Amino acid sequence: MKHLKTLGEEYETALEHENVIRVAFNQEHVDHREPIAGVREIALFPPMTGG
Amino acid sequence: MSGAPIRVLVQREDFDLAGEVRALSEGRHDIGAVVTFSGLCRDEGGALGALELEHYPGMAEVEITRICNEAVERFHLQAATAIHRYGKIAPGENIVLVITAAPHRQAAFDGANFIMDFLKTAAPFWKKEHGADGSAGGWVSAKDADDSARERWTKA
Repeated sequence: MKHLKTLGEEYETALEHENVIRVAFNQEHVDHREPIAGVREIALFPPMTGG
Repeated sequence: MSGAPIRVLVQREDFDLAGEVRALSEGRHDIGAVVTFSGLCRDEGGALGALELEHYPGMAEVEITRICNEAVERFHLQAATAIHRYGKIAPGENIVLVITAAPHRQAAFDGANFIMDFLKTAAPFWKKEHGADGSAGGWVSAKDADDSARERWTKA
């Protein structure tokens, strides 16, 4: 996420509050520290508000 | 895996509550308790015109199925159904349905509660508000209360 934030202002704004961003690898929630090696899909989400 | 039937649907259309309850319990004589929860769109005292629900297709179904599986295992449920709608939903309309079945009521209540708590905080859905006056509202913020509701299940 640190790297993504350097890609431009939009990225910086979207990822401003890093601690609330949810991360999913291959459509499964993971901890922020999870290593990305071998992952097919990485998704970053704002906090969910369904239900 | 317990083999309890789990039915998960993510759809634009409304659902039939009575029909879903019937489908879940039909032909079975081992179920003692069925709990249903439905979440509706409220008008916030007349201020809200509609909610628009976005989701991440694919993962939404996978994640809800994961939550239901966990509930089945944890509370020994005999069946679970979860239906979540997406798209534009007007006040008074259904948003979400959760049905759980168990031999006794406590497990069915707890199971439904558990599914809802995780559904709200882990299933990839996001709500946007549209004002009753036609104004485009903002994205709904996540509530700390929802996170703490979910956390009570992880305490020993």
